[in-house]
Amino acid sequence: MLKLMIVDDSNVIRRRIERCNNGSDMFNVVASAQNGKEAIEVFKKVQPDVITMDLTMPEMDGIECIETLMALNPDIIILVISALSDKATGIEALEKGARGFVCKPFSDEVLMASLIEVTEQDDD
Amino acid sequence: MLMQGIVNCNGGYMKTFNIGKYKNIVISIVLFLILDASVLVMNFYISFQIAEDATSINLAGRQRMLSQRMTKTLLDLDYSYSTIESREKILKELGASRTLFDETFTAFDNGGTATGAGGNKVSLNKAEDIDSRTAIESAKPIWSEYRSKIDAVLSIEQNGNTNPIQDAIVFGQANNLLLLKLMNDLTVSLEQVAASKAERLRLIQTAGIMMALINFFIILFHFLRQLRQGDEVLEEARKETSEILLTVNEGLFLIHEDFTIGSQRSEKLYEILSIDTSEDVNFELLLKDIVSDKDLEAAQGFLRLLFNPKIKEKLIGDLNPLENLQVNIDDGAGSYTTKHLSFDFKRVMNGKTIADVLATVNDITEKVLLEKELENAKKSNEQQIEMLTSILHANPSLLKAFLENSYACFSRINNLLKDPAKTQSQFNEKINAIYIEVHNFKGESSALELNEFAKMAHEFENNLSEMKNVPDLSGQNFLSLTVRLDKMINYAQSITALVEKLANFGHFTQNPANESGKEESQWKHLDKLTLDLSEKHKKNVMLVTSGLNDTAMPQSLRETINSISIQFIRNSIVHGIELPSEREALQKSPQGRLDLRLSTTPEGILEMTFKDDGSGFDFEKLRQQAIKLNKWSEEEIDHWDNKRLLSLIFTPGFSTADEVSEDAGRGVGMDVVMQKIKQNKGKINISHKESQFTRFVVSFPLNNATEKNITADHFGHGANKVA
Amino acid sequence: MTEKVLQVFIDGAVKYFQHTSDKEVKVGTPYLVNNSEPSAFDFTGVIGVTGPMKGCVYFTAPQILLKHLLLSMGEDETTEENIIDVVGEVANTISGNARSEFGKEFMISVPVVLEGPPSNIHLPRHLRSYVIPVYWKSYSAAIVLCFE
Repeated sequence: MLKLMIVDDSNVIRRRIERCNNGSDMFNVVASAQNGKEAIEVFKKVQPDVITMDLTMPEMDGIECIETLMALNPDIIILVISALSDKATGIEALEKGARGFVCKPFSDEVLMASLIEVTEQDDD
Repeated sequence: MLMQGIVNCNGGYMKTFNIGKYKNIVISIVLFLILDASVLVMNFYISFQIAEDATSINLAGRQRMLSQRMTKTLLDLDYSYSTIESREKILKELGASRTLFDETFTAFDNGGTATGAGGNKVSLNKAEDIDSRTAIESAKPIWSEYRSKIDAVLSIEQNGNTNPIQDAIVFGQANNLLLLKLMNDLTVSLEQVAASKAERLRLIQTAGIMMALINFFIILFHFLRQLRQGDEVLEEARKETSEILLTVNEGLFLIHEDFTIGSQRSEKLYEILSIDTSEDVNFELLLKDIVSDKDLEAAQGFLRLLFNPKIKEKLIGDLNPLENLQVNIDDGAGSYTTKHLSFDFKRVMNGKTIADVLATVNDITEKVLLEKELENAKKSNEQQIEMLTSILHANPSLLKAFLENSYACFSRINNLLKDPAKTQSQFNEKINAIYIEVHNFKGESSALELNEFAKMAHEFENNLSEMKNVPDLSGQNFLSLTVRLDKMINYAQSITALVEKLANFGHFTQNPANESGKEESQWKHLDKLTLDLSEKHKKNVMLVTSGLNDTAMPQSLRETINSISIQFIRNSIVHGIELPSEREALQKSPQGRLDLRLSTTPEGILEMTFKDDGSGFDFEKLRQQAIKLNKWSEEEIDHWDNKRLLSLIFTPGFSTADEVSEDAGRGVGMDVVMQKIKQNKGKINISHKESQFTRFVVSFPLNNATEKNITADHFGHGANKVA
Repeated sequence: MTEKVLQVFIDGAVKYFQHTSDKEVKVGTPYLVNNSEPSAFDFTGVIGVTGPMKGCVYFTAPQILLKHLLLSMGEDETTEENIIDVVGEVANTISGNARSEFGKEFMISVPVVLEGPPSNIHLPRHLRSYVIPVYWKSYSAAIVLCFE
């Protein structure tokens, strides 16, 4: 079981991702955060394996949060889940160290498939 | 056989190293080396033997010399009595010779060491060949005896006895030649052995070289063939690749990690990107002229993601910034071609590593345009429905005539705009002239209930009114008018298109067949206009018509009468007919009445009579209005009689309505009527009685009624020379 | 087609003439022509426009006006080469003005100078163009705008 942390300022999205992972035998939602700042604090406590990350959030946005998280643990797997208002921002997030991008709105199937894909170990 | 063995055994070995197609060449080269090495080893071995043989031959030769020397020293010993020193020297020499000969002989006989020419120890092999053996065996007894005799000489000499010398000399002289011959035989025999060895060496060398050569030719032939076959396969592959790249419909190219672009690109790429370079370019150079800096930067970021093995390719598809790209390509002739391109990027994997990124470019312009078209079609549907509702209730031939009239009207407006004007008064004249046209158009539009047109015309009028207040007009002020005109033409054109479309459905007949039912409906819109205007102005009015359908007249005249009627009806309802309450106060029926009658006189004059039972003309109001126009002094106007005042209604810009509305109040209308009458060479007669009626009688000569160009002169014709 | 956009192109041309020694330039009343019969004088400088609005804008003038324009700029050599050059310059000014007014949203091409009217590529036949007469000295030229 991989420890999953959800970072999103939207309640609805956070609950949705949680619901999707209810009964999943791969991911266990251990924490969630509403903004980047909170995410960093929670991250230090729970040390999750995977994080879903929104980009546009108050306090500290996703890009900055990813940067900080990567400095704390370069092996952390981050999946960006954000609306596609600006592709350049999405690309920047991945250049900072996130591993994948899921576009809002998304279906449950896409979300789960993406989580599995992003955590799949390269067998080398 | 041996070779086969090597090949087999090496073959198995090589395979484990996975050298694949190079297996054969490696085997051949190894074989070549083994061959060469064996020849070398052989060579080495035999030349070593030859060196040994040379020593043997040398020593055998020395035996010959020693046999002679021993005999000679014996003789010397015999003759030299002179000094003891010289005798001793000779004896010493004899001893040395005897020892050397014996040692060498024994070595030849049994194998062993002997003293070489330089005093060093040399090992000799036992002489094996028959000739040598014979010589040795023959010499053995002779030497044995000779040796004992010499030994006797050497030992006796020490005792001072001379007899053994003679004995030895006798034996030496008797056997000397034989011994020499035997030693010579040995030498010759050894020489022969050596010669045959040398011969063998040459043979081996030759054979080795031959085999190496054969091997070389096998390699050459085999691998040249393989290379040629390889080249053919490559050439075939290359041909196939280039065929694919020439025909494929997408732009294809590889992007390396340093963002340079592979040399293999599909032909279509150049067409899609409108570039003609086949030189080495990088991604940035390829796109920088057609993509905005921002997009290019994003694209480069996206490529970096693709080359980052940590990033999941499947999870970044949404981020492709060039997925749908509008590019404007300068065609170098002053205009741009707008294209919609779609770039797709895919990793090219080499095992587990990302080797390159394959970029695919598609020209999706048609698809995008189609989508846009559909969208526009959807949008214009609403507008079309609005138009449909407005034109469906209109009389088809009237609508057709209206549209033709409209184009003519637009054309006239355009010509008015086109007339060069530089002075203020010229500009004002222009505004007034356009005003008349637009107003007239507005009237006809609202008569046909084409509300959108009426609205546009009204706004046009507003625009013109505003311009009248501009003190210092210039051509640029007219720009908004031109834009409005353009919009009206567009709208008219879309209605025309719609009508044509409908005609295809058979709802609208292009043929104005004069069935009586149809005739009726040709004027029906006037009833509608009356009803609408009454409602709008809170009046109660009925229209009574007669003779409209009984009078034959050309279409152009019909249209003229139509538009004059519209103007009269509008004026009467807005200005003439009183409100029902006012009428009741005047003891009149609350319902006003309009009479429209057409008749033909025996002289061929078409007479149109329009009468209303309204208030007649309010001359005081006319007088006030005249003063407002600021054209004449008040005194002058005071002296005007009613007839003069009445003539004012035909002046452009004159109106007695209190408020400006779509229907009246701009003071344009009667001047249009006047203009139309003049165009048709007609006359107008006005009579009225205050609070009782107003009557207009318009007469047209029927035979001369066809003013030719108005309806025919559609917009745009003859506008081909500037200024 | 908004009036504002048209105005920007007209301003560009007027601006050019205002920089000549004879600043008196007048704009006539704009009117429309069908592209099937395009309006043009002897020389025409065309610029392509794309972006929110697509089409072309051209400045067209008779040879005599252009000769005088050259003279007013102190250029005595009124060769055809120079005439073409000056037409291009006017078109360039129009284009430059439009560029600075509209910013990056519009793509304005480099002018191309032609003799006579532009081809169908620039002027789709089913469309209309706006003609804005320009009076300078005793001559007339025109700015023509055609947008989809």
